[in-house]
Amino acid sequence: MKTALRTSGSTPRVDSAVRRPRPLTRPTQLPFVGSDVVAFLAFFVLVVTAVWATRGGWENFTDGWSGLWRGAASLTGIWTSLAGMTGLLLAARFTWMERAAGLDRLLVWHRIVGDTMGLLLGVHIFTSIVADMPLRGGFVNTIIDLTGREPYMALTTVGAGLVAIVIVSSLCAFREKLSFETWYFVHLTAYVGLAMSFSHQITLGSMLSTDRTVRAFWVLLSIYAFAVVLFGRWIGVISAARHPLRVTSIDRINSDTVAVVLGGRNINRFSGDAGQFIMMRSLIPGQWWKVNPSSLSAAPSTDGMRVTIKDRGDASAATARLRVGDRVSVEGPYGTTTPDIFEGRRPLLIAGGVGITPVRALLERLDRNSQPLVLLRGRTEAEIPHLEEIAQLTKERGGEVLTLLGRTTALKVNDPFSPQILRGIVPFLDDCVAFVCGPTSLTFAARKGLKEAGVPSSRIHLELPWW
Amino acid sequence: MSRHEPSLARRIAPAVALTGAGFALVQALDHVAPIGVAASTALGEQTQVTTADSMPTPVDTSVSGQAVATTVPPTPVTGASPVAPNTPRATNSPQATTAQQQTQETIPAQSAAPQATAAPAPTAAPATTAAPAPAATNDCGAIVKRGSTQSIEWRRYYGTIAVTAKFTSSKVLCDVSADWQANDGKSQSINSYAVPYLNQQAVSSKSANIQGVSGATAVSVAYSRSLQSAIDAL
Repeated sequence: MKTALRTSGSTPRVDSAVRRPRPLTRPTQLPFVGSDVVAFLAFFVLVVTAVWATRGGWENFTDGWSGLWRGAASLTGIWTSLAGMTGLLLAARFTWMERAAGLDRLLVWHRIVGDTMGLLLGVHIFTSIVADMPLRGGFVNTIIDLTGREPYMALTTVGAGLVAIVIVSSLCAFREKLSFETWYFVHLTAYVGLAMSFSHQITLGSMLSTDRTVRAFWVLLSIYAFAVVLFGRWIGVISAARHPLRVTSIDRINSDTVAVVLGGRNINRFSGDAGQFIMMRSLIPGQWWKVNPSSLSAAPSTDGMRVTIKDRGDASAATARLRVGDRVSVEGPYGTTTPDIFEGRRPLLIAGGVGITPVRALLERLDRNSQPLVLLRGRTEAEIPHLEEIAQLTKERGGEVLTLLGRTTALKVNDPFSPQILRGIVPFLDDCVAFVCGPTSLTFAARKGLKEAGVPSSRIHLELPWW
Repeated sequence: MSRHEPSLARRIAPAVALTGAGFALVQALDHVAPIGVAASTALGEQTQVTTADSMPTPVDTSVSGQAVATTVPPTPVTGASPVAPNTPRATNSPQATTAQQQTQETIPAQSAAPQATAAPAPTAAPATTAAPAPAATNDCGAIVKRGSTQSIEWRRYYGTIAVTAKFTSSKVLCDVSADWQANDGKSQSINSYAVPYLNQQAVSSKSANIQGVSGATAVSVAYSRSLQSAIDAL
């Protein structure tokens, strides 16, 4: 605001039409990297496991077969709920975690933790049944006891069922059959499932039911994880909706792609940089409940954030129907890809389809003499949005754009990202920093080729296909 | 965009249905049974006591009232069996089975005039009948029985427990204490945590049909068996 006053000299109101746009504040730099997030979560798991082992959990394993089953049931139970908490923390979008690893990577980890949790849950149920069978008098009695006759076990059974449904619905085969929103709402029932399974930990976990210290520790830990996620995550959603941006312009790029600029008074609340993405939610009737991720297709400034949206699913279609003046709730920008990743080396930008948008934004922030090389992949030239802008920006920076068009099956080579081909077209491969963004197959093919050509993985940056 | 767009309701329906079905399923599955029942099930005595468990308590009082008004039995009774778990005061009637029959027959009649039958109870047979609680507590300890020593076992041997049950002269369970020994520190901590609760449960249920303490199932089962033997010894 103060800058606005000094430069325009007229009114403190931000009036983007007359004032020269100023880049948004850069995202805060925090002294954390991705491995810190992993270390934090691993520490979390280690501490709990250590408490379990020292408070008598280990004794189980010195007690023959029955103790082994009992110990395995108790340990997998603890790990299952730890996986649940870890999954919640990963999806909570803490600033420090997000800045360290990027939301895309956090959500990929979230998925891995979820799958692990599914396995642990299966093992926990199996070992608990086996461990209890001798005393409860057979398989059927054990099942009846553990699904309802023991206190809180009916709740727990249903909770485990909900968690299992959430995990199964996230497997690729099922996930692809569901619309994003259906899947997402089903995913939210994981909160219910986790809450339902909580009580049996206290009543049936013999350590938790008798050891007051451990019980206090565990209850506090659970409350902490839940509270942090509830408040951290959902207050973010509410706050974003309370301070929405407005659509300031809409450009139709081609039949199914539009470029939307989001700006307005609230833009100054945001900090972000080229290469990042936002989660947007159109606050218009019938659309407010759908969220859509979009990469910024221009360096964000006080003029607004531009996103280029391809019509893929429900929410994208709805976004393409936005009109100027509509309010849009924006969360983010997220992602660790910023112009800083290039560290003065020569940029190699590889993109396919709509993944080209962050490349377009990054180019804008590159130095005049950075000489980037841009490799674009698409079926037709029209399918690549902003191609002219990219050509222009690259030319200004002394770089070059290479496009590879046509269906993959129609290409002359099997793998356009094989190390040999990359070596041939990228003379500075030993001194480059690569950024790859596009469909899953392209992302992984490019990463594989780059690694085989000798580019260290610390210099390969990916926008992971987490969506 | 002519694409058909489903509404929020349609998208959220599966999640809501799942949650609803989940809660309904909890209601259907939840049938927490007292440990005493589970123990007798394990012994092969009685399998479906859970229905009796859900009987409303007013039946209890009416039955005891009935017993007072009609039978007034001074003889020792062997009816303290887990057959009628939730009608402990009915154990004063000659046969537990007849008590149950009475239960079903007398519900309407007793609800019609509950006070009339309850009032004469203390005066009719002050010493020997199932008198209301205030009168009964006075001579707690008139009968003391020690239950059999039960081993605390849950796939392995954790120790032993034996309860000492105190009854009023009218044979109502009024106080329980337990002697136990544990083999290891963990069992010790579980027992010292659980036994006071078990004592409370036994006194409040006035029978061996106790809820049990979660996480301490082994000691709960052993406790229940020992207490049952003490009651049987009456």
